[in-house]
Amino acid sequence: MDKIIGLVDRLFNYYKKFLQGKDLGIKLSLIAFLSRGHILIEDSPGLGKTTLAIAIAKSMGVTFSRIQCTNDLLPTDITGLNIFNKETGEFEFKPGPIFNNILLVDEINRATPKTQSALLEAMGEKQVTIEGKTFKLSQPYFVIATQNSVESYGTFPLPESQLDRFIMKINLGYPTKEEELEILKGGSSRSKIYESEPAISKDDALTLIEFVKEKVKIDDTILEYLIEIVDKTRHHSKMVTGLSTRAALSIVNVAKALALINRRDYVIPEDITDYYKYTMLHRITFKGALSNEEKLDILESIIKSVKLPY
Amino acid sequence: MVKIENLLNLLTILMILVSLLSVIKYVSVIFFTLLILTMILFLLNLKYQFLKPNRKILTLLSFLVSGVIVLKTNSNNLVLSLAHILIIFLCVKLLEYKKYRDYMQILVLSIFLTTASGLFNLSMIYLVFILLSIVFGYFLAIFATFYDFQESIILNKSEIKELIFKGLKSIILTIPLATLIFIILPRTNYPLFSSLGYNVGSTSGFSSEIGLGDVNTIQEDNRIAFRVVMDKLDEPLYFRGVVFDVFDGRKWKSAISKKRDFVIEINGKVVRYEIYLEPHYENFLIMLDYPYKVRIKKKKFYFTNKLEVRVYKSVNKKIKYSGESIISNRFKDDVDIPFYTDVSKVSNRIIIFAKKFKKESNMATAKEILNYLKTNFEYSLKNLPTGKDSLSKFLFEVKRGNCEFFASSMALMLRVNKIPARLVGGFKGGYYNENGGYYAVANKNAHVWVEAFIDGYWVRFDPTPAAIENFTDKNRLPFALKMRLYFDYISYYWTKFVINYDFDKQVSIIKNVSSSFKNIKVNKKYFIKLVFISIIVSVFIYLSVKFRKRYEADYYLNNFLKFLAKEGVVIKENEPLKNIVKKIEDESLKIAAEEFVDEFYKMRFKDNHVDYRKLKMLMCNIKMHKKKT
Repeated sequence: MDKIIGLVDRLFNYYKKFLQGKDLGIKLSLIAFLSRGHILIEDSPGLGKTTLAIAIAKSMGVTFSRIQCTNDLLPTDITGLNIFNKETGEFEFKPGPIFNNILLVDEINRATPKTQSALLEAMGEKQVTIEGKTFKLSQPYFVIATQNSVESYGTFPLPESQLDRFIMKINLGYPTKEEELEILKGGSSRSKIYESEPAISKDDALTLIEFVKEKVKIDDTILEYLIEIVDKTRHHSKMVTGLSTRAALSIVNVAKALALINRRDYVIPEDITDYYKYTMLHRITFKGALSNEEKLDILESIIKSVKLPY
Repeated sequence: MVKIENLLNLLTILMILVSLLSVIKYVSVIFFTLLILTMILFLLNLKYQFLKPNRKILTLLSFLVSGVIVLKTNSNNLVLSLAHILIIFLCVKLLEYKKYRDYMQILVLSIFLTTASGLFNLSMIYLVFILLSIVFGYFLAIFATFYDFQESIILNKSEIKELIFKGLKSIILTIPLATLIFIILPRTNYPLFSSLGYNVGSTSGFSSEIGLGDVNTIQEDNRIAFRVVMDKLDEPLYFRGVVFDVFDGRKWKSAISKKRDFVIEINGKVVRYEIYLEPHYENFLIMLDYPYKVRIKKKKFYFTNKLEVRVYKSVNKKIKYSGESIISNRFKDDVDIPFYTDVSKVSNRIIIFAKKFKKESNMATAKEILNYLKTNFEYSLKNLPTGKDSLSKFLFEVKRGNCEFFASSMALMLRVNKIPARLVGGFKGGYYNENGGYYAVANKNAHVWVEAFIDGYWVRFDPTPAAIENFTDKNRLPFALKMRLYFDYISYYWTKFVINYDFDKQVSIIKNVSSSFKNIKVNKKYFIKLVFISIIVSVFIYLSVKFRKRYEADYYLNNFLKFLAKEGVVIKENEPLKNIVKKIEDESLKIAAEEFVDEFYKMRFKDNHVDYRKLKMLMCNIKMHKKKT
């Protein structure tokens, strides 16, 4: 346990050094990473998403790549394709950007549904099949996707089923004045990040993921508590569809990762409720047109109505 | 997983069944069948939902039917009509669409019906019915409340278990209170229903007439007629009830008896006993032959010249009395010879036949007749001769009959020979319950024997041959009867308790309690010791309850939350602890509280073991901090 906490501390020290004013973003990304999920960030451009992705990749010494989605992006542009080699006279597989540990998919909703689904399928299965051959993706594997706000022109919004594949959907918004000041003082830190030494190794990262998966304890009463919340979303008068079983499972995984980040090897009720905004909201379809705030209010009232497990 | 609605319906049916069973013996078959049919309809309707009756029409209908019943009511069937009306209302309620108030109404109606059964007959089974009603009703009320809250609640097994467990706890907790009320509440000495003129008819083994050959089911009736608390005696016991001295050709009747103004002379063994008599709706008491002393509370009695004990009001509730008797087979008395030798209604054939038995002395004649009947005739309860001249049929054709035929024959044959004779109706034998120390005498022990006046004494003759099944012999009893007798033992204590318990007893209990307090005051040392011990015991109980509380994590958590609330932290419902702690303004208090919360969570969600000492310590920390600042 001490060793594990040491690793977590090292990571956080690293981020503190290179990324100012992005505490929440880092925390959430890291949680998503540790809980073997993927994250969807909905923000305006220029708020440091790429830096975030690079920092996470660099801090763990894993490979990183980035895809800029456009409407003419083809599935093979992501997954890679077979190319005829004149010298050998055979087809040779040329892996696409998806074969990196951390993948930043920019403006995912600009890609056509066909490309989106190819990408998301890979995210779910953690493997790619090209012309009958199956290629395993590298481990750890973590996708940070960004999307422009829904109102933008020329977008293909992700359907609910695809949204459900993201363990979290976050909306960081603008940094506070103080945070922004810090950022401006430090200047762009990206080059420093590129030069930096990783805080932990790739194996350490895998150890952390494994620890979250196997060693963090979640008490049955907390699971029951979660099930109670999930059940209420399914029977709520203002909701069309509630949380799926996959959603519940993701929430459990997030809670476990959150527990680890808070230096615990057991889950407490707060691990479930603290980030419901990011884990639950995008998986629920509400009746009628409601603003985000209204949706959050409904969700909050549901959580408050469930008796805590102690 | 059980739907609350199903539970509720089950309890409703059980509740109604209990109340119906309690009055099943008394209510009319029509109403009984109606309710059963309605219950079946109710169950079917639950499944198929084919009925949607109009509430108003149903209510109107029930009032109409009740009105008809009320019209037919008189002072004699008041309770019965009430029961019928209750049943009608139950039927209507069952058919209506179920809401909270319907369930509650059914509950109340059922309890009323069960209570009404107590007005018919206060036997021990009433206790069972009322207890069942209370238990079912209690849970019905609980589940109906849940149902009212949310109709579709589904309970799982453990939740139901918990509910039932908690429910039973509170029912059991009411017992001490009920006991207290039982002692304190005033009660009437007269049964309510008998003052209403209600009469359920005789249950005793005989009535004030004996009709020869009338179908007599009573002698197969195993119900207990009375119980006699006394030592066990080896000789057969004759319990005297009423004397029949007039024969009208078909029936024996009892002539009006006068008060006896002199003491009888009997020689023999004196026996003291106490009798618990079930109501027989006649105005005589059953006494061991031959009685000479009776003690009974609140009832006037007198000895008749025929050595019966009569009371002025008929016995229509369970009563208790004590008596003294002398065991013998004769007693000295005077006699009105023409009256007791009247054979005007006896057929000639019998008179001629009887004269053959004439011997040199009256005693020899009597013995001759006795012997003749005992040897040439068979005892039987079946195919008894009936009709106008049933006695001749018995004597000359059938030669088989029950004790009434034997005794009648002998008495009349004695009278023909100018020996004064009469019949005595009462009971013979009884099963001695060793545990209870009493004789249980059943209706089937009802018996009739002969008293003949010979040489200045009334002598007892019993011409009836012994029956095949003898209630007195324990070893030959069938198993069911043995069980019956065993239950009778319990029933005996119930009877004893109910009968003996009246206002006097309440007063005497309170007197006893207060007088024993006085005694303690006199003995100061004893008093001080007692107070000391009771203080220690109560402190111990208090501490152990409190101590046990401290072994519950909730105790500390509640303390913690209460403390924070006192410190001005606003705590919302279902707010996680960490969020609450974040709201604490005082930094050092926040740290202490955080520590508590972390530790509590760790115990609760990681270790599954709560270290109370640690929690207590952390709680102390929080409080200490407060004192410092």
